[in-house]
Amino acid sequence: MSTVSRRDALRYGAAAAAVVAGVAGAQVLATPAAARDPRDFEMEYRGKKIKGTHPVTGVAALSARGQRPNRSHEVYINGRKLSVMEIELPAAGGGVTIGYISAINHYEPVLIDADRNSNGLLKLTKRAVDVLGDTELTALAGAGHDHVR
Amino acid sequence: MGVRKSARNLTSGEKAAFVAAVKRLKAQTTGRNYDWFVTTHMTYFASVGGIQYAHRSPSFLPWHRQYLIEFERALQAFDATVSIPYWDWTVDRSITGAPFTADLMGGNGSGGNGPVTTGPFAGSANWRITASASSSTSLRRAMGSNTLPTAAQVTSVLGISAYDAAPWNSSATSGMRNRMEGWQTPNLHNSAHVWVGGHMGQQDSPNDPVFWLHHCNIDRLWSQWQTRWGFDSSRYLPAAGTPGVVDLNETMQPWTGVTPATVLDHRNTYTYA
Ligand SMILES: [Cu+2]
Repeated sequence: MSTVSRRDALRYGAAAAAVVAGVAGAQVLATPAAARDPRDFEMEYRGKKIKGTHPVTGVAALSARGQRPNRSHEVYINGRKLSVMEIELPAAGGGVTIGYISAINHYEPVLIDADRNSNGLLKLTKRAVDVLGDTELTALAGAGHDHVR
Repeated sequence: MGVRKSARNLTSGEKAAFVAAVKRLKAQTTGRNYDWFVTTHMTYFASVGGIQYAHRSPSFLPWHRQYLIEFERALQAFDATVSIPYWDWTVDRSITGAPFTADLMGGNGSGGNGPVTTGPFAGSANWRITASASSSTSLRRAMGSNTLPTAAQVTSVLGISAYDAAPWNSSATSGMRNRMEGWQTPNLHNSAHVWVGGHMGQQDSPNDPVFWLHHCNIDRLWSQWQTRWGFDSSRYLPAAGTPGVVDLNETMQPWTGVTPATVLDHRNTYTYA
């Protein structure tokens, strides 16, 4: 499976993936803003502005955009980027699931999907704010996780 | 040859010597100083050149073994008597007991989340954080948000004879390594990072000097596993030809000439008491 189709399967269940991709694609053509994921958030939490967006998925949505799609989760805390890293984990019922960590919560993955863990990205973000307290993210928090040398 | 002891058994003189050497390495302005160790850990958490060296891979244990050896050598350049102590969290499970005493690591963060207020690493004047994902210049801890691994959990992990297993990453379900590292239950290593919290839970976790005591304990547990199942190279997996991970005889960056095979038997370099 490609990364994108695996994410779709995660988020919507494999059976629903094709339908959802088609609908999302049509919305992108009409109004780009409609491609926003319903789980995206922008709010204040414990005195900090937090913003999170989920990756755009679905074959139609990707091609309609005609540009490199946002393929990763993005989090900003008070406007500073917190990069989110995918980690393959053993799934509860066997197989593999994807967990997510950040530079702030590095050893405690959260699950993100469209079902029971639909608030996963928000949970990850709130945890980071809890750790930060009265401090802020630095540029190192937004640095990409994969280093090519 | 060094003997690594439990933090709870160090004399006050041994504690003072360890702290002094760590602070001298922190004060060093050139070469592989303390912050070099911090940034190296940050770099190698991810894949470097497509290879997972330090985490989420079989070389988690040998990479950190070499990392500790390098750190210990750096301390010994200041004081040849110093060895890294270990924090046995199956025994020392309190936020006020060893090693979190005022004569060694200091205690919890103020308010349970803020700067550490006791011990030699409290406050940025004593211990200044410079390379971190968060802007705090003082060491922070938020201890006790989860439960430390138990002795029974350690026993269950050490009882697994296979070192590691395909797919050789954080989703491996059989094998000892992923349970020890903690992406698979019962989760030994990751749990203790989370339990200390603050900087220890971040990508820049070596900013908290208790990092070394925790990883010394992880290395000790691996050594116990080796004592039971064998120090020989046939006990490390994978042996050869595995893309993206460090096989037995492949070099572990950023060191030269260091492979899993060269660090498997540590008994001529240091032992555990
Ligand atoms: Cu660690």
